[in-house]
Amino acid sequence: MTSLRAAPGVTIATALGAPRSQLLLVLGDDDLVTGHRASYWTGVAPAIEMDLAFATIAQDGINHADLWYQLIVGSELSGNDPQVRAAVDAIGLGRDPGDYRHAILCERPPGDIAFSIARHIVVDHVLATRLDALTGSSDRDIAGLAGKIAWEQRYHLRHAVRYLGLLAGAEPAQRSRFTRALERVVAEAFGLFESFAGEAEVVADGTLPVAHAELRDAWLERMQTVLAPHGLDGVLDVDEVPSDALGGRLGTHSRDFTDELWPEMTTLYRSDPAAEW
Amino acid sequence: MDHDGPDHDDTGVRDPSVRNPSPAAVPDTALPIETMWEVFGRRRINDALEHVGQIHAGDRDTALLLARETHFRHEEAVDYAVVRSDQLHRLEDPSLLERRVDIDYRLQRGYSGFRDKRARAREAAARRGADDLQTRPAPGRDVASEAS
Amino acid sequence: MAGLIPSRDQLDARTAEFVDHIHAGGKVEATDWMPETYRRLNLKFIEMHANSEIMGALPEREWISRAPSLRRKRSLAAKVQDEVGHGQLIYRVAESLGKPRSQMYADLVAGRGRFHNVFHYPTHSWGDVACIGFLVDGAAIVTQRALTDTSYAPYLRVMRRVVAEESLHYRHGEDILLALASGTDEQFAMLQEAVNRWWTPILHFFGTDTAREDDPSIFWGIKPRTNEESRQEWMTTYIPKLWDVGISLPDPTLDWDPETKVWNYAEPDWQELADLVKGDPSEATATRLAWKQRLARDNDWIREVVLGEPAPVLAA
Repeated sequence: MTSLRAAPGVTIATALGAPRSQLLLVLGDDDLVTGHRASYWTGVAPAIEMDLAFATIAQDGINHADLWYQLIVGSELSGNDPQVRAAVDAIGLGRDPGDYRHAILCERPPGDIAFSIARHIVVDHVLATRLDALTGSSDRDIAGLAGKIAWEQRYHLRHAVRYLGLLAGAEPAQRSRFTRALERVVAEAFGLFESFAGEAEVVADGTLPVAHAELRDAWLERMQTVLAPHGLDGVLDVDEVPSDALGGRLGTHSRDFTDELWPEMTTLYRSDPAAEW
Repeated sequence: MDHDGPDHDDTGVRDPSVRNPSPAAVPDTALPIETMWEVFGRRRINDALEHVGQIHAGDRDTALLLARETHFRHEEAVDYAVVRSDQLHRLEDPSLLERRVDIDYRLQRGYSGFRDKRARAREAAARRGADDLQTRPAPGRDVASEAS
Repeated sequence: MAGLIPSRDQLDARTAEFVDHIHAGGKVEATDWMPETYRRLNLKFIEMHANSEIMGALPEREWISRAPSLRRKRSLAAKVQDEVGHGQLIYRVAESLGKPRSQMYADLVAGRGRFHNVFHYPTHSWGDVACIGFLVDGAAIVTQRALTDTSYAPYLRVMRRVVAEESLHYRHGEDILLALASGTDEQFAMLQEAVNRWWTPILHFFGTDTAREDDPSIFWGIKPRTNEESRQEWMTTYIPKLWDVGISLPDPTLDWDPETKVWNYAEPDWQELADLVKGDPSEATATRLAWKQRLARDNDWIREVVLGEPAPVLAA
């Protein structure tokens, strides 16, 4: 990997277009936006112990995004080096909305706790499926990082599965509230499996060992196993993916992102990208 | 770290000779004891489990799941355990541990004066003519001088 | 207030013995007998402390979504999480004195619960994050450190753990403040402007200059130090640090007297504090509580599912 050059802005703009970088943006942006939305509950979750656990899951998303972006920067310097920090923040907070590659589901507002938990359950299983595939990447750095993050995901999955059990086994009114949220989430989750520009190249050279279309099938099988014991696998029968759940991988985002999440997340950074905070 | 303990008597019996728990202690109906769990952590692999606090959780698996981020967010432990609070039985009267007669015969402080005792035995041995034993080379002995 | 400090002849034998015990530095366990006044005052104090941890999370969490770097984003989230964690520990201590956590929480959200003045204010900029993280948190560290000698042993133990975690927060806060102080002119100005707004609330935080013998919290073994002692300690720790980096305080009379070893400063307006805690809620507080009430209506049902306890009934 090359070390950073003197003009990070120019270097990064060129680097971001490459297929490998696009893959890393998909991975990083899914994590960043998921973590950002999850961190809404930090301090205001309905129960204190629940708040504490979910807050860590949110922080993990932001932390993992940082690590994926560091692979785009590709420096030999430490992750804490100011130059690396500047480059990573430029990627995470310095792009225009059309340059983000996360799925629409991730940018939806937190809604109520049923929606956020349903999204956590579904998306963390998508991430786990994709990470498992990435541990076989021909790119050593990506394979290595995927392994580390997959390890961290163990807690996320345990957490998600526990909540699934609690909500599926709750009183009818509570269970149906959860089920409705789950249906909405699953329908939009298919947007996570859209392919991105450059996907064909990274699949061909093994950087992404499994294409998103196949990952979707693996994820569906996994969800079947996880949901069936609770009688909830019916939510997986999605006739039609809502059209407004698609487009994220190509940079077409909803107002939830362009008008709300993106300005909130990036305005202070963009007021002075050269400043150190 | 010690904890304040459940403030109810789980056997339902109160010994009037024991200093009474506060009459303001919350009756069992107000505190949902069954949702309280005691949490223990093991700092390093050779340490014993140590009480670190409590959490609210509806069942064992949820308690085990949530304890990680309530009590071990900062790499404080390599292992942890939970027990439902009403399953942890405290000694109702810790003054039982306080002894009023001296039991130094079974404590370290009951054995002392070893410098003098060793010196007396060495002198006695010297009088008995143990010169050879006392001066032959041995680890910890300065060969040139007499054994101290 | 004076009625909370009884004279010797007003005490029955058992209470007198108890008072002697705590005045001699003795500690009190949850299962010990205690006078009703002791229990009530400790519960009120500790409940307010726990409420403050929860309400303190609100101004800071506003900036997690807006943080100017990814590192600050997650470290601010971790810091807010720790505050919630402290709330968890401190509510447990208050519970042991006879009030269920769900009731304390319901009171807080309904606007009946008390919490420290500093968390009734809005935030306007990242400069507030530096001030809350370093200066306001610093005030809490001063009082919490003193409380590691409180008489109620469960509270003492939790304070030991909280103080240990606060050393991380201290570094986090200082890191943010120093970045602004040594940054661009705009960043420096942002910090100075925020410090100017937080000065009075921090003075207020420590309470009025009440003499040791007039303070029921000291008589009943809750606080070992007077309000003024704590305020002076905060000034000694934090003002030189601010001056070192060119940040001033908005009080031209503020100075340190090396002879008396006392900070001289202009008295803040104490009526402003009284209005804040006893009058109508501030706009920031009203907004935040209304939001928490809405969140409670939408989401508290899940508490029963996760914690096994029935959702509290919110009073009007």
